[in-house]
Amino acid sequence: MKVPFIDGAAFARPIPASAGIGLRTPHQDLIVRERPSVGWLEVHSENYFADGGMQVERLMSVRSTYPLSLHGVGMSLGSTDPLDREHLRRLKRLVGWSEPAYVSEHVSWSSVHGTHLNDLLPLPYTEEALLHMIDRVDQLQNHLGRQILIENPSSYLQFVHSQIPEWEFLSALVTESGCGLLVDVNNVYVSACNHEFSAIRYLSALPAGHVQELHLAGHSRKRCTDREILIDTHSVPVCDEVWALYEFALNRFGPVPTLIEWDIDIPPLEVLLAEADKANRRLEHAHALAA
Amino acid sequence: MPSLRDTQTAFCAAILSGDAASMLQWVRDDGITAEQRLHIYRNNNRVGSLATLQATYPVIERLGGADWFRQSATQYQVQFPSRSGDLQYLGERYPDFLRVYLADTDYAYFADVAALEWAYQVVLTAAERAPADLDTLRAVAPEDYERLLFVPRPAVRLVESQYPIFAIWQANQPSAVEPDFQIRLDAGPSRVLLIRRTDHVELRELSQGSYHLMRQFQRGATLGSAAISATTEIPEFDLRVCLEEVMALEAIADIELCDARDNEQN
Repeated sequence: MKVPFIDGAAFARPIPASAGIGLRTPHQDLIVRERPSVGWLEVHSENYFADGGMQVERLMSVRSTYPLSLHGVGMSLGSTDPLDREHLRRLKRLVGWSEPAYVSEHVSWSSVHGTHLNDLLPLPYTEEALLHMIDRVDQLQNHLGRQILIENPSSYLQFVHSQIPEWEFLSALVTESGCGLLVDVNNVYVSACNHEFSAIRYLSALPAGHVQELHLAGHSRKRCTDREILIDTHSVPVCDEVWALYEFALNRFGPVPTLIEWDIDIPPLEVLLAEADKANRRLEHAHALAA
Repeated sequence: MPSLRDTQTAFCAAILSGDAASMLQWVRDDGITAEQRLHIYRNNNRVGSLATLQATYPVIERLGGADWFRQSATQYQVQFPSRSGDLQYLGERYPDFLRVYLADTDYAYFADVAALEWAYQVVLTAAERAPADLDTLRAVAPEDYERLLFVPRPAVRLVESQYPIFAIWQANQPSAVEPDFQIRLDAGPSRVLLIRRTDHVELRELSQGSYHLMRQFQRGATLGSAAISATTEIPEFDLRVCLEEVMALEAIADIELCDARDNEQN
């Protein structure tokens, strides 16, 4: 059932329509100490599920300075197993004390029969999967008592029994569950290359008013016989093609908070902040157009 | 059309056990084969799990070498697949795995070193509780001492081994200087207390008596029954010396009186 949730921003410091960065272990001490100028911070929810410790204390410390977005990678929303009650409990506890503006998860699954693959695995886009995802998003939103954002995955395979284009699947999920959209522009680009569909068509089909956050990241290329496949590695700078697609997304969705994701081979903080500046310059242009 | 449940079951089998028979017919084969596409997920799974285990067990990787560690991680994942969406728990059963994997080999001590590294992770993320105020003891009448309960702080763990695991752990830290002596595996047992301080986890080797006392406190024993147990096990046990050592560690969160019924149970 679609529930009119209070927007998360009502509880917390709202996230500005500027660039944010992930709070990752190599930069934590520096960010706690120097509080560099950046619009907002994103954290992977599961990294702060602990009962205590230095990691949790650092987040407690910086949350007074920066608006926060919680991004989950382990809820396994699309799984046919029941939602993990302990995972739900810990997420709700984290949301309670960290007061994020956004809480997000993925259109994907990670576990079945109690076994977790700890990866964001693709769903077959069928009516059954759509109804299942609507129910699961509904369960999570009811548990948290607030709206969540749902992110499009990057994928390396498609199922022969998929019936619904991914962009239609996402649009229906948003409409039926009342969740918001987190559009990962790099994921759109990666999947579009891997499955040979138009990234522009994908972005054009999404319901613009529901897009509340954008993600940008780098990917790598792997050769498979006579073709290349793109892997969403979050290990390198954002490429020119994704920057161009980001500009298209800003034109379509307006200025939206944008995260620079970098999770492997994490560079010095100034490199990450320079990537955020690149996003900010494009956001400023979008703000000017929107004014 | 396969159900969502059947699709996920087949996907999981294709990733973990390599049984891709069902999945191969359900994956679009357009320019890149279904097998190549599945291999990407297999590789992601293997690389992600290995990275998590490497972060949890750096000493074991250093002792066994990168190639051996990778092989052991693969075997571990087959026998103990992840049961949580929180990667924090991925390596929880690795010490148990090593205990069987390396049983009756020269490397059987790896399991105890791994237990020490797992305890380190647990201490790193346990709840914060301030140490007990020793003034609490002044309000206790001497005749009630034996009924005292010493409740350890959550961020405290104990690990005991017949091998010198503390010395092995110390010698394999990134900052460690090359020891000018060889650690002998028959050097005698090691009893280690791990405790989280403000900005690090401290490892401390305890005397047999102090370790026994802390172990008894951890099990919920009163001071009286802990002292009897220790004296029975360790003839030279000195309660005063050991209790002072334990209290100096600031490893106790609460000191409280056990009521008579609980005392009988202990």
